[in-house]
Amino acid sequence: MNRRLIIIISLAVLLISAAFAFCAGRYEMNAGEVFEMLSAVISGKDISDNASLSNLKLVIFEIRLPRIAAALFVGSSLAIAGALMQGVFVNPLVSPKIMGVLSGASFGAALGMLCFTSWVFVQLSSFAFGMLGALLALLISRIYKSTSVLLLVLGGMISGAFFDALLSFVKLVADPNDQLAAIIFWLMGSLAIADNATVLFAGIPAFIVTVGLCFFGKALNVLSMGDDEAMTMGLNAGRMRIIILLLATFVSSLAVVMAGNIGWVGLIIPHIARMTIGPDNRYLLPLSAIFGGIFLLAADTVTRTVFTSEIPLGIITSIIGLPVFAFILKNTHKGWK
Amino acid sequence: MINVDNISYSYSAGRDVLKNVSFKINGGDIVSILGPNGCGKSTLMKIMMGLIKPKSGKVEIDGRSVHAMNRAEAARVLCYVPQNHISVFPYLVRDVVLMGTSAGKMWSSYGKHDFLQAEESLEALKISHLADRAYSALSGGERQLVLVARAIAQKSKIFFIDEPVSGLDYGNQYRLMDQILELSKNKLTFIITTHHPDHVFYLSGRAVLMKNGSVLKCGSVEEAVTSESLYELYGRYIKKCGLAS
Repeated sequence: MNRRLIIIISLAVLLISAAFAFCAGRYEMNAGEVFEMLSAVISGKDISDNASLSNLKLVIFEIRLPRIAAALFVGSSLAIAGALMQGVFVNPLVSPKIMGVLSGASFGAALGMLCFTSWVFVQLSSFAFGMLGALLALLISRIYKSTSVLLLVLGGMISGAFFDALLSFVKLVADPNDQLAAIIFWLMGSLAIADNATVLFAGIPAFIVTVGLCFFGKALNVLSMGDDEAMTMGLNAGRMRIIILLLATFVSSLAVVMAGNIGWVGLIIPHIARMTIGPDNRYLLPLSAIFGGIFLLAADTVTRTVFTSEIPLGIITSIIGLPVFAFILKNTHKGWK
Repeated sequence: MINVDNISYSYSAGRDVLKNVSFKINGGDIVSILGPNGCGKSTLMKIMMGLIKPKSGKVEIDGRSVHAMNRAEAARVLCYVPQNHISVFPYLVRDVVLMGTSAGKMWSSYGKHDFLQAEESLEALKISHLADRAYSALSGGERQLVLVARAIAQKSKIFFIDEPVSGLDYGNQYRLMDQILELSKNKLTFIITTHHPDHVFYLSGRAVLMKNGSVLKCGSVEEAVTSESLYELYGRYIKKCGLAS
């Protein structure tokens, strides 16, 4: 099938899933009411005296909208970061974890929960340490005056191990009655904390950069042929690798800020996209972002509708991810022939 | 014209890989660089392509230092066919050849002209039938041809080819060299490293003989590649004899 067509169809599926997710949930609503409320909001009519309409407005705009937007932004950020890192490291087993981003951001968040009561500071700390994790990995590789793939991977592993150790220390000293539980729950990943402010300050920047990253496909193709080849085809390989890694780190840090530690998406979604559309990054990058969004939205919709109490998203992604992956593995023969 | 002027290089202090290497190459030449393992052939090639900076000396292409060019500029004058290249990702052959047209246009999508250029280069090597195959699933010989096609699509005048026949069977070795001879009719320059003296004669043109990081001999193949110079290179007495045509 035409590769552009696959992307357009996937985009349509994404929009339909988002519309469906708006209607799914424990608060019952019907299409007529939703339409009435929306037209009132658009025309600027005051509905504060109508209890059912203003409740509906609250549910849609304050609860479901930020949560759905966050699911889409987190999923697309993690998936495209994974696809980019697989290309940069020329290794399909790589995920955003490789650069120490997730370890850094997790430690940052845990430290934030220990020191601050305000959630904003926890998020800032998480973002800052996520970036710091990757910068430390880069710095370690620079000690050897090289940006070679091997040293970057080593740097990432060392940086990740360092922040994992710090995280363990924070867990050790955290108050087991409330702080430790909060940290553990957060580490399993959840979108329950996503509010409009989070979406505005973390989700929108992540989305903008993700859209920009979709256009790195041509350069990433050339880069993944090897350094000498890329250099003689007109690409400054070392510089491009750093730019891509920093941008991928940026979006994955923001994803952690919004939803905690969610595994699976950054590793497997790029594979599913590759099996669907082939390995050409010009198409793989946008499709990974779209599939990531759809997948996380679906997983989150399951967590908030099927179960009466909130199940951490990180658990659901891995559980429903397995059959999804098996199904696709059986039904496609692209990408790894 | 390429002017290699007094190049020296060492990976670690005290052990020189290249020592005062100088020679000139005219446009349209086929130049074979011959020498035993570890004589600095590959390093010299990387320096000539501007991939690594020499410790001293300079490489000029048409009067411009190759190390002063940015990568896009360099890619318009030179291209590179590596040896034994493998790709982890199974890109389509068509897409691999298209990559050759990317220089200076990394952020725009491929245009009609680029697709045409890719088609033409596949046709020139008579491998259009491979276009929709996965590059990583090809045999070594086919991959080598695809990389030559990619280099042709790049439309630069100077080809650097590292051990072009490594991994190819006897027939494919000569088929590839025939392609090189055919291409060189269009005023393209070829700089080729090789381990096979007989291939140097087949390609004729000029030869640079290297030993321990220095140029042993440089000149036309007939002059430079003699039984004596080959003995000096490999420690084996090799007798030159004519081939019945």
